[in-house]
Amino acid sequence: MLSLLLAVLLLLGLIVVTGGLRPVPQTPLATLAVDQISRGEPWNVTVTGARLASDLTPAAYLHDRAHHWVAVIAEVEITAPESRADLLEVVRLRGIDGLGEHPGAMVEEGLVRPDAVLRVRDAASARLLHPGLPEQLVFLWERASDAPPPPEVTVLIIGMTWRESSLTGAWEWLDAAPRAQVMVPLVDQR
Amino acid sequence: MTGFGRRVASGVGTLALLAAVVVSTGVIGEQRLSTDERYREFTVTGETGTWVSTDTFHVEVRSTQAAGVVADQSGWQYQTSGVWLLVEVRLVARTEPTTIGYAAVRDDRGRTWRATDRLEQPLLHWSYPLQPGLPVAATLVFEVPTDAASSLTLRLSERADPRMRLVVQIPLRVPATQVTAALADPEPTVVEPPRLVGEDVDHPGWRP
Amino acid sequence: MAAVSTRGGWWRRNRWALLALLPVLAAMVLVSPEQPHQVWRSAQPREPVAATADGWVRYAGARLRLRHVHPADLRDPVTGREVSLPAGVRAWQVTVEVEWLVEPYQALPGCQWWLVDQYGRRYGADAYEVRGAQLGVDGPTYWASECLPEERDTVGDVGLLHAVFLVPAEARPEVIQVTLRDRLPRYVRFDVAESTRA
Repeated sequence: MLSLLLAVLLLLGLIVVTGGLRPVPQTPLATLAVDQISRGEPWNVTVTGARLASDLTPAAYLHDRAHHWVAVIAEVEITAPESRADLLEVVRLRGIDGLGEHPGAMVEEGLVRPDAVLRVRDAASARLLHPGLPEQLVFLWERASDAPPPPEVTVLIIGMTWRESSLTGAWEWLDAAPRAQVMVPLVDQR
Repeated sequence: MTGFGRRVASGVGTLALLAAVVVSTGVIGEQRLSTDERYREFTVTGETGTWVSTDTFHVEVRSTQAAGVVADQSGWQYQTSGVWLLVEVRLVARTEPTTIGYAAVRDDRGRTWRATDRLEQPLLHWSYPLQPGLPVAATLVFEVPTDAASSLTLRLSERADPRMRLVVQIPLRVPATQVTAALADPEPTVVEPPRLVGEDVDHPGWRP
Repeated sequence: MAAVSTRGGWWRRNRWALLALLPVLAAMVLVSPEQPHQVWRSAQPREPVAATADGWVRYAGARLRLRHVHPADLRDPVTGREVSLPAGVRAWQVTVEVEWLVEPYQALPGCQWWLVDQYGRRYGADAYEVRGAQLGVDGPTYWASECLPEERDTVGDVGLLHAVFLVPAEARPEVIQVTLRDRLPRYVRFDVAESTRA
């Protein structure tokens, strides 16, 4: 009985000494201005504007013609060492209704993934972005709402951490989470 | 020793033994390869102008060209803030239909640029499969920053994920003067689609 | 306390546990999940479906029989001229008779065709260079080696399926395979007899 108790105490002591009981630090969300660069990994992001648009064919097609688009324009540069194909993860929107209400929409933890990403340079769909080649991109969300739009939206810039996965032991891009927010005036160009 | 003393000694002895087991297991565990080491790729290195072989295909880099603007077969032009690199290659599948699932260029800092998806590249991802013994000439297109263009290594593999696979590595040497000249030239370089090139191509046979 | 039990005593005390060990070990081996090798192996064409005496193979809702394998006569559908291929490249046409045992569009879904040469090299069909060519001066236009019926075919009808392969000139067709991904490792195998290789 005594040795068992001592063993348990030793174990607890080891956990405390190696920091297992320390709370995970929460980094506060930085607030940036429009045209101010957010530096980080795996991308640097500079939000330059937000608009409402009704018809973007043939670059993008609405599920329902009664809906319209919310567009966020930002310059994105890959800072990770390799080309990335996950551009739908760069930003999220807050402060506007009617998003994510059509078939195929992806909503996670209350945040809606963009429905499309386009390159401003040629209005073509952007899928791959490469290190050291910043591009002006347009992130699109289909909005299904007749309510008058808010005067501004909050754009959340998502960051990730390159670290060893506790599950696989391999190094991966993990912990996708907002790292900065930008309040952007919403210009109605419908 | 008293009875109590003997019991404490026995308890401490047990604990010491337990601790020794835990520590030694940890030490042994650390000696194994990390996950990334275990899943690493296998590389085969070559030079421009020579055939390099993997278990599934042979490849020869013929030349590398820089271009400020490229165009596809329909005449559509593609602009870039960096520079386009066009790598002329010849490929032969060995014993089964094969594709190039992974095509990238890498600099000596480890930055990697995957083949562009802005243009159609039928050779990648099964749009134009390579058949055994039939050499194909093709152009692989990459979009890279101008300061990285001069000393890149081409990396090719059959599967989209090169881990635990054979990866061909061939250095591409593009003189900086060529890059500068290309950026100053507004004329688009047309990218040719893959094409069969017939029997006068001196490639390694299918036998190993 | 001095040790009293002998070795025989320990065995005797634990005999039931030891006896139970054998079936437990056996169960572990038998019930173990499919090994990666088995999974890989069953994704390959390994088990050819047996043909009847007159050469028909029953597979995935249809019966198939190899009609012939011959050098393809590829024509431009507009000009009628022969499609030119680079030197050292040869085109082979494979024709298979099919009898639909179920609704034709339900049979042989997503079939793939393969040609194996005398060295064991395996070729896929539908090279870019042959798509859109006519098979012979008056033949059908070839787009892909599908297993699809003529428009009005129904259960019990018999039709023809074609596949065109590009191979090196020295390759000799020896085996034709037809595979369906979710039927593997079972597949259709036709040995190309001298008589069918025109």
